[in-house]
Amino acid sequence: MALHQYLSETYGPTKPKNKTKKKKKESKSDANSDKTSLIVKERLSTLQQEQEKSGVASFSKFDKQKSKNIWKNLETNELSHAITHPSASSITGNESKNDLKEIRAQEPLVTVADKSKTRKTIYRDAQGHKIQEDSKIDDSSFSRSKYEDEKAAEREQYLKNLNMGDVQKLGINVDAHDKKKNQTASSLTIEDPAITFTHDKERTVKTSLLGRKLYDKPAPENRFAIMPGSRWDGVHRSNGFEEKWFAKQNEINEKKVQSYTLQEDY
Amino acid sequence: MNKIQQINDKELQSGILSPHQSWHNEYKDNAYIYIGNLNRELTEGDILTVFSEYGVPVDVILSRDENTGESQGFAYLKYEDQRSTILAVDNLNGFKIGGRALKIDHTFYRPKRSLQKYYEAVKEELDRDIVSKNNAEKLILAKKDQPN
Repeated sequence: MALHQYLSETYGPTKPKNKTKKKKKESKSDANSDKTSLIVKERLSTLQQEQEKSGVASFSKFDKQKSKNIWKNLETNELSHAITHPSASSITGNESKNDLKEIRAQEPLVTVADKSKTRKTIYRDAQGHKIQEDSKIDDSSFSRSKYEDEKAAEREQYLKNLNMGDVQKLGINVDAHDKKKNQTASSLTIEDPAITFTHDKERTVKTSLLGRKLYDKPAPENRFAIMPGSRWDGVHRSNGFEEKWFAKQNEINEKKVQSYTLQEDY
Repeated sequence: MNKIQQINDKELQSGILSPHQSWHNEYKDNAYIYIGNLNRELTEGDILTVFSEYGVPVDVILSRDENTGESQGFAYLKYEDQRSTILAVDNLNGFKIGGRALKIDHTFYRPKRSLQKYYEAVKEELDRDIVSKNNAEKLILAKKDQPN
């Protein structure tokens, strides 16, 4: 009897069919009812354990597999392995998120430190050492300003000399010079008639007050009696002002003469 | 009609003829003149030729583009005698050269360091006008040979 029960429990679905052919009908119905009750108990115990461990997802998975293959014991082991993997993956995901938050929190601190660094300027020696005393910096800037002032003054003096006329710079009194020329010429012509026979080489080349060549042909007159330079091409270019100047001068002179003559009339 | 020309006409009408009483007296220490509105094809030689009528030029600076070397239409010129600047400003203001009316005025020139070689070249060229005794004799001999 014991061997019969053992075999029916382990190999239930297949063997009871074979036995029913040999034995009576009443024995068949009793054996089937016992088998089903035993099997159901085992399934319920496993279900309770799994529910405690995991949530609804695992329960749903168990139900699906239950509907497909109820009588396989190996499948239960597989289910337990499947449940552990997603939980592990979820744990790792949470950890990665926490790391990102920490990184974000650290970044603004770094920027604040950079800002504090940029606010202050660091002065250094030629050797690279820091200069922390303010008095030294002020002294160096003060000495620079003095040196620069002297340099600027020298440059201004140089520019003044550059812009001044060379004749005025040498202090030549132009009016007196012209008068001397006229006097010497007039005296020479009057006192020494033999001057026409002499031939001075130096005088053939006309030169300016400072020894530069001048235009050697007749040139139009101007109020200062300045001769043109040697580079002039001989073409008179003017807007007519010099002629107006001379006309005005003549007009003034005539007025003086007329005033004198009118006095005689009275 | 230029403003300078207007001022000059007013001074003439009022009878001011002496340079000491004129507006030019403010610039008695400035031998440089500014020349504006030049034709872009004029060179330093052309400027010297035109402005030598009123005196002996001692320095000339034609402003040129640094990259292309083209004229920028304005120049500076210095005379040996400062009175020549008065003649140039009065007589050549508004005069047309190359189809353009010149604008001339007194100025205080400030040289640039980048043009140092330019200044040296100009000075070398203009110093050829200086006559020494030896040069004078050579010139005389040359003139004597020409008519023969």
